[in-house]
Amino acid sequence: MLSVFLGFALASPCPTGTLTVGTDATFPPFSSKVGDQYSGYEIELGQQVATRLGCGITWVNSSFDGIFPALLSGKYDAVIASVTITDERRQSMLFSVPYMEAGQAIVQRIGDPTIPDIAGLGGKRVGVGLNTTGQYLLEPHPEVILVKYPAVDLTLSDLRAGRLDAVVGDRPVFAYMLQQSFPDLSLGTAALNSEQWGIVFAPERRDLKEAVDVALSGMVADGSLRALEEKYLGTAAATEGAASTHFRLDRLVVSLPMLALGARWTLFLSISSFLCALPMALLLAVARGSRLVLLRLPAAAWVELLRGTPLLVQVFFLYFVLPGFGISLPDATTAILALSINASAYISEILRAALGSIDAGQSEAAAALGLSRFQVLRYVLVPQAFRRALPPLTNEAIALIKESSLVSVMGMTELTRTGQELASRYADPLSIWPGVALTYFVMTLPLARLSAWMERRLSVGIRRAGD
Amino acid sequence: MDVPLIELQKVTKNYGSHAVLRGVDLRVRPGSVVAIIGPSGCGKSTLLRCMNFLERPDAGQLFFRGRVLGEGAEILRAHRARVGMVFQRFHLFPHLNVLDNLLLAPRVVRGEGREEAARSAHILLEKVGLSAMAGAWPESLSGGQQQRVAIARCLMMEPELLLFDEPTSALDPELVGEVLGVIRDLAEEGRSMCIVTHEMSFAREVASEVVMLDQGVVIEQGPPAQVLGNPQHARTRTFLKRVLEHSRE
Ligand SMILES: Nc1ncnc2c1ncn2[C@@H]1O[C@H](COP(=O)(O)OP(=O)(O)O)[C@@H](O)[C@H]1O
Ligand SMILES: [Mg+2]
Repeated sequence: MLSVFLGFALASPCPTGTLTVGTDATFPPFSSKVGDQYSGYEIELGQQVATRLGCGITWVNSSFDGIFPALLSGKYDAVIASVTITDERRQSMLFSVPYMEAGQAIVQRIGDPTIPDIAGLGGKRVGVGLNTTGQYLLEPHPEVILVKYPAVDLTLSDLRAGRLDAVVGDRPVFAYMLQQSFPDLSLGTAALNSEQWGIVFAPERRDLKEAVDVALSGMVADGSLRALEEKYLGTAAATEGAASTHFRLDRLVVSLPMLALGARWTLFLSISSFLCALPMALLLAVARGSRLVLLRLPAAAWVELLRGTPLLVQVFFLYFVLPGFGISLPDATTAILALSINASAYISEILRAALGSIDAGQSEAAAALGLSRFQVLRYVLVPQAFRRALPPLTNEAIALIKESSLVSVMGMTELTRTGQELASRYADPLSIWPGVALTYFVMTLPLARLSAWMERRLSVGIRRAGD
Repeated sequence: MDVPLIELQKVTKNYGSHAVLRGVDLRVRPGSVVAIIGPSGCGKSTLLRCMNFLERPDAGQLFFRGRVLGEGAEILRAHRARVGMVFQRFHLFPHLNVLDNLLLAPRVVRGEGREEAARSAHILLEKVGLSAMAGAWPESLSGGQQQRVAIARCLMMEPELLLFDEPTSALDPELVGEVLGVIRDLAEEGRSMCIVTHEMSFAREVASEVVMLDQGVVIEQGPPAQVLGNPQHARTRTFLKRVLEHSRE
């Protein structure tokens, strides 16, 4: 079996005639996807390499987390996804020769005297993204005045405004940002450190790696790699009026698939949290209405504690404090836990009010029929309470969708986080945030209408029942 | 002499310092209909509610078929399932349709199957003249229809004693007749009941005994002809006169 496979493999780098290549198409200008259409620097690179090998190419989109396991299990022949070549990755996978210099570079205002290296940054105010390679690279140099930013696009705005003397960050990413939105800034040619991107293969595909290396070397030699880079990252590619001073619909449209992905996470988080919160809230509401002090008091204390502390603090508590006690949960679980625990406090108050608003005659009639206290709750009170609570519950669901943005602090790529990343990638908050707002609005509007409709309907029902 | 179906001995009930029942004795013999009358606030509802332990008497004893009623949630529930109660304001479950209102207790309390319970439900709905209404929602029914459903719902548990607390007081006058008709039928079947009512002619016709309650004590009791036709107690006379004037208006 193996020898048959090797025999084919030696004959052609793509025995089926097509290379299947994994990519993470959420990273313009390198790899992105609108509808079924892939585009970007790496897409074109892959195409040219495949052509040189005499193969076709099929792209498979994957999140970056899952892309290496899929490669190693044989789902792809190769991965082209802005993968930095590291010794650690080399131990389990093969890399082609590098196709992109991705080290740290210095950004300055056009017209300022050029700073060639780290030594030249001494005494200057230099902006970096918080916890980025740039920060780590400069921290051992106390003579550099480091200013850390939560998002790298902000560094460029401040450099433009004169609040910084220079900015240090990933060369390809910044090249694209400058091209898109900062024609008044320039990227230094010197690489402050060595970081390179390569095409990745499973260890048993040495034949393919070697063929690709030949193709890439050919592209370096005849200048086509350079041309590609100029096409996607060069200033010549800068679109008319690229500066981020007005809203650009085209950019928003390109971002929509990613916003939709973020929205899916947001919906998943808020729906799961809501569903988890309901039973918790019901238990709390019933406990608070109990005759037993031992149930009533802790439930009341719990609800007041949750309502009296900011959700953000609760998220931080679960995310950063619990692991200190040896409890570490997956991010999504932590997010759902935090959101649902918080929501349960508010929902329990809604349910408590709804339970309290039910005519005492209902429990009496049920008790007179022989139902136990639990059965009265289960079959008579709770179903009615839920009906009455539907409008406020819907409002709570809307609140949950919006509040779920808070878990972006944990790095969950839900809608708000996606917005942050996009705005930062294009250095264009003006075009991205309206799209984010619109996406939230599209998700919450149907719920808001539903709530209004139910409120109207219910008020009719209550009037009728009362007369 | 028959053992009374239910017997109250010196039952008292206070709300705070307000003594609502002050030593009430009452017997309901099997197959008899006891009408409880008295001015508003005299404790009629409280008395009725003590009979199925919706209120717990502060003192006194309650016997069911000659046996004193014990303590404990289990015993209470079993007792309530044997004693049906119909309320002034119906208290149908608004989230269930008519059929499911009837099915809830047999299914949940007695664990009956839906099919089996539905068969009895249809028979009872027929009996109260609402067989066409099985799928209707309570809020779509008239008061009279709702009260008839409530009666059917209570009959589903095959109670040995029926308690009616002013079953027609919340109804428009033209709907009173249909509900009284159903109660009359039940009386004719020989069911044991206690009815709190202000419908004196109905009490005279249906009751085997009338009990006059005033300020938490029974001041007069006996056959309807005697208590309603020839009341011995001055307060009974004034009360009856006031009710009579009111119903003439
Ligand atoms: N749950 C309660 N708490 C306090 N007082 C009550 C309660 N229920 C009834 N009462 C009082 O007890 C008295 C008797 O009430 P009730 O038995 O309903 O009278 P009736 O049915 O004869 O009109 C009234 O004065 C009423 O206000
Ligand atoms: Mg009353």
